[in-house]
Amino acid sequence: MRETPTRQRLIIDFEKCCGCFACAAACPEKRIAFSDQGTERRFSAPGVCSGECETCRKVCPVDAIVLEPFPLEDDECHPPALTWTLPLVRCRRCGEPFTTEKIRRMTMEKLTMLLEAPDAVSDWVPVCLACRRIEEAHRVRTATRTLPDPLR
Amino acid sequence: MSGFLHVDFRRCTACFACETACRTAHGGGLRIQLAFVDGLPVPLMCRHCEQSPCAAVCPEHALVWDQDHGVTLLADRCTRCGLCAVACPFGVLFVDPFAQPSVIKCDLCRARRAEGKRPACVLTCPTEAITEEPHHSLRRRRLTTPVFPIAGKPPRPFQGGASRASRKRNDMV
Repeated sequence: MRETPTRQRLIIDFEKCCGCFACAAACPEKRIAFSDQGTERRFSAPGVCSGECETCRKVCPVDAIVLEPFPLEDDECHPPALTWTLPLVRCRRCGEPFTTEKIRRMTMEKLTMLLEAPDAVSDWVPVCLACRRIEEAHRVRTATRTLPDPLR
Repeated sequence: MSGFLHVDFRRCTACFACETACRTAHGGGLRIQLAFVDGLPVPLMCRHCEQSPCAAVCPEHALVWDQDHGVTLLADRCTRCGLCAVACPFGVLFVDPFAQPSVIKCDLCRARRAEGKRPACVLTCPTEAITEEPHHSLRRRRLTTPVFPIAGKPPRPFQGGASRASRKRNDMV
């Protein structure tokens, strides 16, 4: 049984994929899945998909997805489901993995380029969100000298 | 009135009323959070940076800064890629891949303001550690009362704007 008149083959450039979850969030049929396991993020996607939808290709920030028309009759050579993994990066402060290595590098490069502050940028990107808040709290308390006196 | 939030964290008593009020006003999601350093609380929320790192990295330009609303999310452009969360220097912006809204961050209680109400955290804070001030007066306060005291000079008290007492009386909304 086929729900859609045409189908298309999903081709993903694993080298380009940065490991964000835009495609997984966008897929109307929830057929692209991701999960963080230990120090890697594991993705899975179907090899063939329904015909009309191009949502995942449109949302991908790095254009890693290509959709190719796939003949309906070609049931013998069914392309297998796709799975790929990307290494996660650990927080410099607490050691918990929080995002992919590629996203960290991309963000760093983008910020350095766009905000024109090459020396100021690098310090928060390798730190996870919870640790960033603690570091910020520490910064403001230190700047206002409202930290408790350790000698008292 | 369009204003930004000013936090005097020295007044914060860590009662978590702001977190609760914020969650109630927005129907879930942590948009203001207390961070602790040596047991002392600092309320943290989106700073609405003018040169926003989150807006700079967004591939779809779904986050924009404007003078009245700070950093605003244009939900129809957002693809939930999560790059903004990694770019935020203060760790106060979160992306939920499957829930609505996609980006969880302080929006200065836009919906409440449209009804003429004040932001939930400002209204709830029992010690008035969080106040709402217009953009220009915050900027002036930054210049007149430096956070870091200059040696030998007492900080000049803030002159502009309505006094705390009169503000409290006038708009208990």
